[in-house]
Amino acid sequence: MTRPVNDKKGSARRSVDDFEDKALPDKIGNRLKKIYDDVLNEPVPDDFLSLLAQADKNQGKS
Amino acid sequence: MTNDASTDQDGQSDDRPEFNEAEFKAELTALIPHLRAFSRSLCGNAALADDVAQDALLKAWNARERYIPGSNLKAWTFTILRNQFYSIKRRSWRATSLEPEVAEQTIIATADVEQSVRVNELRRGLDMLQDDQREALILVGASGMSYDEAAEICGCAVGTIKSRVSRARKSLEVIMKAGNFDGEADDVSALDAMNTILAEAKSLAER
Repeated sequence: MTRPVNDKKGSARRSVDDFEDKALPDKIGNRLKKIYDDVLNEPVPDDFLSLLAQADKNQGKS
Repeated sequence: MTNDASTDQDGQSDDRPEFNEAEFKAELTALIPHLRAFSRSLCGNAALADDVAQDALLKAWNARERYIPGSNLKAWTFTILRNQFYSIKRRSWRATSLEPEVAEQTIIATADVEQSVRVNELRRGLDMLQDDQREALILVGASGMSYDEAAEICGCAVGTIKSRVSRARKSLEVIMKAGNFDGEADDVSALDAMNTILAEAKSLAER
């Protein structure tokens, strides 16, 4: 998942120092994870739960 | 019960384990946080993302008889959500959700301003990516899906997913690099610079 892309051509890394070269993919990964995990860890809003409860009731009627 | 014999679960003779509705419901409920997170990662606008997630949840529930018990429910629901996302996106929302100001308002939620800025940078970068690259990166890089699962969800080959993830990363690296230079600049010029770089990153990624 955080493996560096290894098909880089030599020209792409001319002035980039090692620190940046390694740190950047991780920063992207961490921030991406944060966007996802922030929502993942939120309590589920009631409308989601009532949606399924409602679907259940409708089904019972039919 | 108005069901006739033809829909009787017991009458099924294939290899499938029996479908258990209560179990399905419990598993589906447990996946709601993931559906919301996947949706929000695809779309920065929280309200729209939740609409898509709700639609997907309902569709999954209504399609429950097509789910094969014992198979990967998370991947199955993600496929539904993904299709729903693109169907809504195609139909309507360019006018509302892609307004940068709107997206930004919904993103800044933490007290840590600096971190919010950095996450917003990535959010803008994500929004600049092609759809196929964005979804691949989110699935593999954030949702914990394997390359195989991501390929199944996106309906493409595993190798295609790998190359999309790698292209997405390359574009975002360019964007993040630009973000570092702007650390102390004022917001307006930082944003201008960012937009220039984003366009550059996009053209690089499309090459």
